[in-house]
Amino acid sequence: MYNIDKGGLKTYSNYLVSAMKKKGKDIISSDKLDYKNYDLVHIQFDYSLFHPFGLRIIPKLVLLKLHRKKVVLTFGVVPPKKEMYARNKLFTILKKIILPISTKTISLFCDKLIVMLDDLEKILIKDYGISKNKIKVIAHGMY
Amino acid sequence: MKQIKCIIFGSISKVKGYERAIEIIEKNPNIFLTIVGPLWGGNLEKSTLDYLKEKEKTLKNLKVEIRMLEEEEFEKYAKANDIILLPYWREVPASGIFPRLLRYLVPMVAWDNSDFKDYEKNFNACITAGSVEELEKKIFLVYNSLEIRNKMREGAKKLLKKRSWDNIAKEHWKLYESLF
Repeated sequence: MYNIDKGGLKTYSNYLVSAMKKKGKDIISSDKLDYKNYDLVHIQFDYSLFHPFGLRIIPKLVLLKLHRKKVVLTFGVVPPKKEMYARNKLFTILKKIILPISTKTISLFCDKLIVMLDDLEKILIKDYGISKNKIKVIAHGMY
Repeated sequence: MKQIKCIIFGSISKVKGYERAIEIIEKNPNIFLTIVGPLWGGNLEKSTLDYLKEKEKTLKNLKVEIRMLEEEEFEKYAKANDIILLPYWREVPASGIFPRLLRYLVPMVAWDNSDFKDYEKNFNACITAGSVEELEKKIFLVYNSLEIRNKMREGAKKLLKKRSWDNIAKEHWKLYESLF
């Protein structure tokens, strides 16, 4: 599991990986894209972690696909188009234009996208044009 | 009048909806609000930080602590308060703070965003509001009703069991396997 967040997503990854390890599964959590010994890479994703607009994840996704890895990506948050905000009006407009493009591109390189809520699935489909088949809803675990 | 202690956890961000809680404490000096969390995101959240610091100067019932809590501190901070507030903007449909704090069984009053509505509707694990007035009413309702607090506690226990990490890990692994 690949995660570079130091806050909520890090805690999330640690708990998830530790629950899987308890079941004897071969999985690690890392802030390095350590894919060589693994068949699948699960990325904990937030647009702000791969600024600008999540675009910085795309070269990593290309690399993973070149190495024929299965890729699963979990979105922490997917902002609905009508409620997006950024530091000023110009950035808000840019965000509204670029986020759907970056999200669509990200989805092309992923085998499955995970969201934690039904509403986020609806946003991905309606505002970002992602196919329903690509998305799986798995609720947030309780600590 | 007794003091009602409320807290907002998590990284400092405009979308946490501090202004909603602050509007309430400005009207109710008996509600004491603590805001605790680290500051990330640089310039994006500078105005939020300035706003909080300015409010802290003028309000005696507001305390702002800008720092990342250690894992073991979450329990201490949660249990030192009567209510955990999550008045988030709708841009934040999901919260990592809620699942993290649920085990401490401290009542949570949240905005009616997607995940909070789910926790309320299906588990009674929290109470939601869709306006500042409603949020204010619900704070008093939860604080004054032992019956409601007990119901929330039971709901929280149910939710903790159903969405345990073991169950969530199983779902993830099943998904991984389906890709091969």
